[in-house]
Amino acid sequence: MLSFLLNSQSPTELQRLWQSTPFIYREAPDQSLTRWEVFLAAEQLSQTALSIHSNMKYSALLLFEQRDYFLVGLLATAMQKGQVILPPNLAEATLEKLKNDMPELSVLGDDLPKGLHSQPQITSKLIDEIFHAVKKNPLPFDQQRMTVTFEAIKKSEIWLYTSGSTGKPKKIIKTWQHMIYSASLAIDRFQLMLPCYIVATVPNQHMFGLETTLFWPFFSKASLWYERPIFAEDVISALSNNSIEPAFLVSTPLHLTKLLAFKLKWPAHLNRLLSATAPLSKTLAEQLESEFKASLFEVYGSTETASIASRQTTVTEVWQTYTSVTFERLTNERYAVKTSCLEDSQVLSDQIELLDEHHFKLGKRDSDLIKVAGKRASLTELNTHLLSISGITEGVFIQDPSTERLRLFVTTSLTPSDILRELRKLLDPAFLPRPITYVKALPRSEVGKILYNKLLCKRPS
Amino acid sequence: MLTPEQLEMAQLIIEAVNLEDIQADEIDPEDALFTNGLGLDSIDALEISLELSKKYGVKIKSSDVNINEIFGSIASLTAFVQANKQN
Repeated sequence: MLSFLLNSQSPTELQRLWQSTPFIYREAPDQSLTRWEVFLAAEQLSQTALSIHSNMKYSALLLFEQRDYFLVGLLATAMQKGQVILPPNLAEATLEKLKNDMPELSVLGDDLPKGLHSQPQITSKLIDEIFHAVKKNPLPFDQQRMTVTFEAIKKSEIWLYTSGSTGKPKKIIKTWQHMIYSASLAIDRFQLMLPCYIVATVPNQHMFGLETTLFWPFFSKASLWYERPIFAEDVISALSNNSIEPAFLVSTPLHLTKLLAFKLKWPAHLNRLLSATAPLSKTLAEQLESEFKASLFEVYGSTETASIASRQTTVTEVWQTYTSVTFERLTNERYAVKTSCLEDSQVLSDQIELLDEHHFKLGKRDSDLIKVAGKRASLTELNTHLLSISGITEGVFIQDPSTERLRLFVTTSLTPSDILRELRKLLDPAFLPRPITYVKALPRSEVGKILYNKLLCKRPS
Repeated sequence: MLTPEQLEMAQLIIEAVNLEDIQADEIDPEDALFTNGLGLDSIDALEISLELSKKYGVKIKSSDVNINEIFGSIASLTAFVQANKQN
């Protein structure tokens, strides 16, 4: 499973990479962590804090935002033969459902949201103590111990959630084996076996973040910034912390566009932008490349498949698949994806036009599935939540093409604050409507279909 | 009751993140802005930080200060901006 890593370098080089080369950078140089220190910390966490659960199926809700804590929690849970749950959002209703399904759920995270206070908790304080202990008594790198461990955890599961076309959140189970194999394809595509540095604004809990900030760097020569910077000044200082070239900024079209608006001077060694979660136009890609003075690559994938293709948008609109990704035609524009690491082929939610075995263009997306700030939801699901609120007569969410945010058209006697308060319990904040428009009734065609274009012309109340 | 500075901040936030259906003077200055309060997300925070840098010359940087406290409420954000504004 790790042959791509083991075969690409001598045992001495591997030892240097794992034991002596900084992997996760923090502000203070002596605080940075090597891959081996992360590995040892995960072993300790697994043997001490998690082992009390060894008699039952261990489920860990992993909420850490910081990359080092997250990775240690992820690896430790796998070592304990447990499953990691990455929640789609922290809305009350979501957490309630997870607790019902898994009453014994442990939470790895600090400031816990309401509703999780009674669950067993592991905080970053404990992991910091373990880091401290590992640094104080450094154990020499042991390649066999490493390979045996990864072989032993290859079937360990990571659960992610996505909105299926039916509208209900769908659980996607990924194994470490799949994530590592998939990472090897991306490592090859983006040449991560050459030293480089990654700063990412995307969360660990979503597939793109999980890949780019954990699996890709852990099994390559890429090093990583420990935090998830959001503000422009933080992104710059994270990039400036390290002069390793090339530096990658991993983000989303929305975040990159907002960063552009600050009109700042970006560090010269930032020469790669990686964007995913929504397609970029060529014009915007050109603007981003010229402002950041960096090449922009888009990554294409889904929670079901992980990333499978990329393109440099200013050069071509054609996506090139990673090596060994193949398609199986279902209908005219519908395809399923197969890679040698996917147990079953996965149906793509986008329509594609296949140009040859390794190249395709994207067609239109299933119109029920929308993305806001990188988060995917089904409009059907959002509308179902809306109608579950008592006092709503009828209503519908529509995505505003100009802002990417959702607009809500609603018939109700509730005030905007009432509506928002109820929706907050049910939805991720990204999907809260901006703004709300009151209508006497939804405009409908003779056959009862909602006339969306008519609604979008209406001014907010 | 919002102070004039807090009212100005509430207005800036409403415009920055397009919360047109909320009236600035309806907001409780101590209410949480994120998750459980107004329900803003990280992209909203970025947009607010852009407006704050344009209007007040304040640079928001999470590593300098306790960002969660500053972005905790209208009251705490206003206090921070008043103490750090350049223009």
